[in-house]
Amino acid sequence: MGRYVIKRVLWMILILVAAAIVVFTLMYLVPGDPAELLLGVEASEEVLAAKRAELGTDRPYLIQLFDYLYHVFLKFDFGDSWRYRVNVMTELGQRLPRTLIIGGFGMILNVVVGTVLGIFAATHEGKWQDSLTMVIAMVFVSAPSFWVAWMAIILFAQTLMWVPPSGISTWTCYILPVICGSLGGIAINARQSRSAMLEVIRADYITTARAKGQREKVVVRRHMLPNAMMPIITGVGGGLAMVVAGSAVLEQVFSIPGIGQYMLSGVNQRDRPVVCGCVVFFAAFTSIAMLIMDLCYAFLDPRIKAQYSSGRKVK
Amino acid sequence: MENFLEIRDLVVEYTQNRDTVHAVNSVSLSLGKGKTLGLVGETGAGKTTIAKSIMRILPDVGARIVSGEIWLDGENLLEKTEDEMYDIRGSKAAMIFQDPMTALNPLMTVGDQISEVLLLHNVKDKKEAMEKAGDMLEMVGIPRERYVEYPHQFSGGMKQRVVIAMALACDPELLLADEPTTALDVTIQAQVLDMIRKLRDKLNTSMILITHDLGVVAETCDSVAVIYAGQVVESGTKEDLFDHPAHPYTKGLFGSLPSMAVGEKRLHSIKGLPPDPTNLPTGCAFWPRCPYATDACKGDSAGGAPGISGREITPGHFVRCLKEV
Repeated sequence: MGRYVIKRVLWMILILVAAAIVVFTLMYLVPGDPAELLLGVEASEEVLAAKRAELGTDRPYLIQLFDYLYHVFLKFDFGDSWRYRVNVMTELGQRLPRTLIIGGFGMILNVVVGTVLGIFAATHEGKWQDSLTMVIAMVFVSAPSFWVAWMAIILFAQTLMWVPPSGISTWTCYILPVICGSLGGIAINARQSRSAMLEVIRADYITTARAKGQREKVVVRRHMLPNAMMPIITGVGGGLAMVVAGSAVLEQVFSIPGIGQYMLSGVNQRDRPVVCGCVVFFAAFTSIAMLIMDLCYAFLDPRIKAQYSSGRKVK
Repeated sequence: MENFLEIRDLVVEYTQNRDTVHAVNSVSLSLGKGKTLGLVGETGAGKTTIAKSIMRILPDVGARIVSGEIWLDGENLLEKTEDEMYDIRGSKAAMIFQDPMTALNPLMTVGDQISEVLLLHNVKDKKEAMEKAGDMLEMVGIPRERYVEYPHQFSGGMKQRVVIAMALACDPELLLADEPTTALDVTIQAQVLDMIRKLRDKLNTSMILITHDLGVVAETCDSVAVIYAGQVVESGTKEDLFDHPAHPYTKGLFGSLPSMAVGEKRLHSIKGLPPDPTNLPTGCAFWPRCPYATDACKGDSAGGAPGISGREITPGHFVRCLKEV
């Protein structure tokens, strides 16, 4: 098991390096001179040259790339934002908690509400409770999150005035983003867990458990749910990766200075250190989420655990 | 009530895409204390459905016990509430399932799966349950150290033994063995059957043995019921059926057994296929395949079949056929 984790972490480093190279190259290929973008077209050639030397953009591509990789992976320094002169790492550290609050609470809601709804629908298969749950889930799967967010702002912030429409001044500001951010995930998870539950609901070992005289509630909790967990974890793991990477839209709608918004502004301003820093950070976060997900599989299923420890090839 | 288990006129239907599957059509069976009844019939004849009806573990969606009575030890199980059934399942009546590969929860240790049934009925203390589950494992010939192992670490025969240990853990008075050896290879089959027989005799358990295998019936059962299209077409003691089969279907089944003595070249079979259970023939369900069928067997225009309701030809030997033996 330990060896498996080490192997996965080594792979993760490789993935991060690859992500850094790709995004750095893409940003390098973006047309336009960064110095000119920063100083405007009227700046004199000497000033521009001085700026280029300061940013290091006058050097050849490969030198710039290796310099960047060296700083990121050996000194853990993403560099300073070209526009704001603030260290990217510092800025990420400041913004991360806001994104994580929204994403984290969203995930908790997603797992708890989504799974419970899925179980509810599956155990009432074919009845009206099932159909109603699935119709509502379908609506929220299909509705784009920014639209849901706007509608929620109009209703709860403007009309009813229960919560502020945007900003981060009080904790109530987080209520709408958390709910709007989790609705889509809840709906997807509810559908996922319903079908996962229906897969196992007719399994022979469920009949065995019933034949033992086990109470129906315990059968659901102890026998069905653990066996239905695999697809649910897969869905939740994907959602976990989206916590950070998918935060841009909601943060934009609710004007929350989080990581997603940071990257968007970086992209708009061709701020290479910001964009590269954000993407590498997203890649790291996603890889860790996936690793946790795979460890959850092993924790839940002794067959997968046996596979990991015996060192056999994992698909 | 003289019999330990008595099933009267049991009717079970499944609903599938608006079609009604007539799985069990007015089946009556009885079984004395400590006796073994063999249920014989083709796949899909309704044998497993009868067993699951006794346990009341038919799937919630689609399956329905339409009418009938199931008396176990003087109590009608079909009138019991779900809460009352919890105490009967696993303790008074237990079931051994057909496919050991899928009958065990893959995410629980085998020991815990045995303790689960003990904790539900006989034993209050977790430690004691683990101890007793270990005893059960040893009884079926599995070392108790393997308590903590998972089903995927066991072979098919061993899994079936775990299933048997689980079914016998609470000393059930009625054991429903649903083709306990079908999924096993022949050498293991003999071992498993032998074990079931020994345990049955030791605990004086009544047993219903569902099987395709007439040899197993001859070795294990006291009485036999032949099921065709959800009906008992013939029932009686083992000797009645093996020595004097009366129903053409029973005769066909025995005729399909290859005889070692004669040195036959071809295997005999019953012509045709079992009827579609969503659309059973009127009259006797077997007439389309029966070599002796007459117009009377096909029932009247109203769909009824006067006379085809079962006759007692010798005491205790019933046959559902118009033909005189």
